[in-house]
Amino acid sequence: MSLETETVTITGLQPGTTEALEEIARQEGKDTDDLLRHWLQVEILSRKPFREILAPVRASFKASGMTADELDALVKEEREALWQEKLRRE
Amino acid sequence: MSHDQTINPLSIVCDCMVFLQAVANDDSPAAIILDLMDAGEVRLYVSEQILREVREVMSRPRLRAKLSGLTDERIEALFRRLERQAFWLREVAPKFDFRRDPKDAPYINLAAAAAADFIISRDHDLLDLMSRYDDDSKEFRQRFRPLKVITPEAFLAEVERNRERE
Repeated sequence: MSLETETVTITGLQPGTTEALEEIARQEGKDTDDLLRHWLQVEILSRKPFREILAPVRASFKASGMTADELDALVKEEREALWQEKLRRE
Repeated sequence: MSHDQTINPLSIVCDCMVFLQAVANDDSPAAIILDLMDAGEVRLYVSEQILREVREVMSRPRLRAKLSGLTDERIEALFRRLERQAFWLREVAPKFDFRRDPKDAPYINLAAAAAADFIISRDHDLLDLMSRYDDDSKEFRQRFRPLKVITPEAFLAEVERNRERE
């Protein structure tokens, strides 16, 4: 994130909105500013192409030194672990 | 949803491995498939069950440890974009009992329900359905033809052929 930040002021919200936001933030273990910042950032990011959304993920994959086959193997193991956890729950 | 396009889009279902390759590996053919989806050149079908599995795999600590860029914010933005760009099927009947690997059955059932052209996979359990002679493979080919299971590389070749046909 850039060191420079911007501020948005919203007016005209329905009565009870602030209280409702505080309640959601409490449930998610965030303060209201963090919650709204997260919502806005996710919404803006989600309107960009996949390539932009995923750029940092792909950079971290490159930095990890993993090969495509090693990623497949890891995904296969984790899918199997999830499946076994599901079977134990049922 | 609609896309502005001149090419009749191919309809696909991607398995979990292909999703993860597309998300993480910039050099993979799977990553190009997401670009094609952004360009409206493929129609990706998804279901709640499949995206739940992909999200759960992405949330596994071992994956997160390897892929530090895979943050909650990026995952949420990715799924929000998929909600807009992909084609959702709300109801997918469990038509096919895939004994060799039941975890893969939802992908086959979604492709069948969507009448998709291709299942894109790097998993031999799925890819072998096209060539083996066990009961599952024979039944798959008999019931779901012309649906094909192919690798991301082979799919990109199909996209090229589709472009030439248009």
